[in-house]
Amino acid sequence: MRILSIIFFLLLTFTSFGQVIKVGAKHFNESYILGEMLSQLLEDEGYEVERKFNLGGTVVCFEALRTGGIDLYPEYTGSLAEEILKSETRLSLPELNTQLQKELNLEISSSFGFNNTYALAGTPETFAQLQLTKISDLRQYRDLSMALSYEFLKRKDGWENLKQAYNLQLDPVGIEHGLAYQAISNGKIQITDAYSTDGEIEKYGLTLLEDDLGFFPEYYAVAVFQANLPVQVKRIVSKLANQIDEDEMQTMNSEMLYGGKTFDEVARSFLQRKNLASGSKSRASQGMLKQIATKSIEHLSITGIALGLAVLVAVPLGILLFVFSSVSRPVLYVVGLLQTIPSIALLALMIPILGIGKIPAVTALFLYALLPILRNTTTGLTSVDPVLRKVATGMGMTVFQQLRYVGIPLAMPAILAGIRTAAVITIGTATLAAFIGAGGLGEFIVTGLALNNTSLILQGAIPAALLAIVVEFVFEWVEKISIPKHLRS
Amino acid sequence: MSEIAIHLDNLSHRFGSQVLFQNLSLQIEANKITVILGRSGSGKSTLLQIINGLIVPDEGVVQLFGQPLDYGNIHQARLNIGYAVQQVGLFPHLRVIDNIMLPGKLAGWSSERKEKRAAELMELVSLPSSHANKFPYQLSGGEQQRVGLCRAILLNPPLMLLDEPFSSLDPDTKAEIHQEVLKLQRMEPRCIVMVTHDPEEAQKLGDVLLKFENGELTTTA
Repeated sequence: MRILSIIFFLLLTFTSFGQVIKVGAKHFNESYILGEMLSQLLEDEGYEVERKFNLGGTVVCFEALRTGGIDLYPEYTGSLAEEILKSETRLSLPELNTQLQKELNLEISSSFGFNNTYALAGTPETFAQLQLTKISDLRQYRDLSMALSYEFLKRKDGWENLKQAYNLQLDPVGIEHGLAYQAISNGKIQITDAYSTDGEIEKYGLTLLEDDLGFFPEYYAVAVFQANLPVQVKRIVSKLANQIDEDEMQTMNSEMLYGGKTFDEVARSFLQRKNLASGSKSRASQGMLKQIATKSIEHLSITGIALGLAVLVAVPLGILLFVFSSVSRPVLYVVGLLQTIPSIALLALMIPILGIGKIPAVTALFLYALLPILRNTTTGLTSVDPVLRKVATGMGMTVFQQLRYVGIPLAMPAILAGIRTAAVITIGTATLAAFIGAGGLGEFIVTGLALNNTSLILQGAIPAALLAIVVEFVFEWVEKISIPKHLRS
Repeated sequence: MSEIAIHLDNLSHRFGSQVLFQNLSLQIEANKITVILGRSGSGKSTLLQIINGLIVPDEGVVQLFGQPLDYGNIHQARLNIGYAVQQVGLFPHLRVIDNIMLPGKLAGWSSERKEKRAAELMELVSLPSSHANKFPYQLSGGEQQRVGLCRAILLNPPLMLLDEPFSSLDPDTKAEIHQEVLKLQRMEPRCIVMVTHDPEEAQKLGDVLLKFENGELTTTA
């Protein structure tokens, strides 16, 4: 425990060293654009910026900010009040700032100008047919096909309280926000939640239901940062105050999603139009293949380290569990329990302890890889023919000699199979690690999901699948050279 | 009576609620083949495993060559006891030669010593040297049993325990291997204790023949 806290302390001091400003963003297009604007403004003034743009939601971003994984990120006032401060009442911007300072030593900037509140959206045809114009009209329906983003389903200012406030009877399902619009335009679903500045509202010609009871709080976009952020940086951030209105934001979102522009370009041209930045410097962007190669290597290194550590722990532990078989059951139960935690939840659980980035990701993946290796090691040893064990003992072998000359060699196919399973699981799960800023191929997938960009998703998914296949082949080959044919399963 | 290799003194053992034997005492001579004839389930196999300490008797003392069996250092004691069982128990991941030489590894023998002794024994039991680099599954049942014998006596132990080693072999192979055992015993005599349910085998191999019935041992020859 002491060593852990020392490592943690070192990491903290190490990561907050130097004049690099770490800008975060949640994994959806608008947050990318705003994060990019903040980054470009800072770079324009000579700061070096590290972008961490794939963070999986308010809580992840917020924990990252609190633990120093990022220095600032764009957030919405409503989210801060409801999700972070758990405020029962609506807070004005100054009230919000005071409370954040007092309770969490955090500050927010002035509003960027627009209010991106939640709304319920659908096609005009559907709404006309169902005679829906405002949210309270939904009361008469019980079985509309409604799919809501996972974040909206869980939020305090989301579905459950909306349902109560309006006394609705509907039973929605969850959907990834980036996929909802496609589903709605294909007619697969009738209603989804939307942000009022979403580019898709324009693109798909969707209608919003009026929030006639005024349920949704205001979601003004602001930057949130630690109170001790250098004054100079705060000044730069304040340049965005009241610069963007809803229409401009909707247009930018739409340009990015459907105009084929990158968030880098969208942010740059906006800042230039508003004379906020010179725009002279452009981030060197790598070619696609080179990007894929870089991310694949990153992916392999996260996976490899996690798997390597898991092997180092799980194989000896598996052997110990075989020798001391009375404790084997409880230990396997505990490790099995770890496996049942959904991977995204396990990743999120790591943040308060280890912050964001590669370390928590590797830790989570390591925990996932433990069970298959551990179980196969113990099972492999247990299933050694009892006659062989009797003969080995009768021959005069000690417990250690039995393991070395008989047990482990005979359990090797099972152990290797366990490592192989763990490797494939880890490669797959590592794509989710992008949500906590660990990089890897998941970054393409997560960004692609957020931007509704199928080719970007494939850019991550195909190499990840190939990696899994290659790893399968490598293990097959290792098995071939290390295990005599008649012992292979 | 010649030297006593094994002295069992007042052994009692039960398996669950079944009493296998009560106050059993027995002396077995060195350098002779003693065959214990009994039906399956009679406890004769348990008796063998009590001798090499795989099973600790409920009561009684086991003495080997005048020394009580030291359960605290049983691994060392077992290096002096060859042990072969019906299922042979060759290690499937090791080649024939490595199976035979494994006890040498445990005893810390040099490679040359192990190799020389293994080659010698293979020849003695008529195993072609071309079998050395095969895996056990590539050998016939009789050949596997010969490998098992070689492994059991690699260290030239003064004592060997045979637990129905030949009962799953066909009659011809069995007859052949009986000759090998007798030959081995002529070449390097040791105390062999063998349990079997086959009276013919017992007659053929045993210098001393004991019948094991209802937990009692009776001399028949």
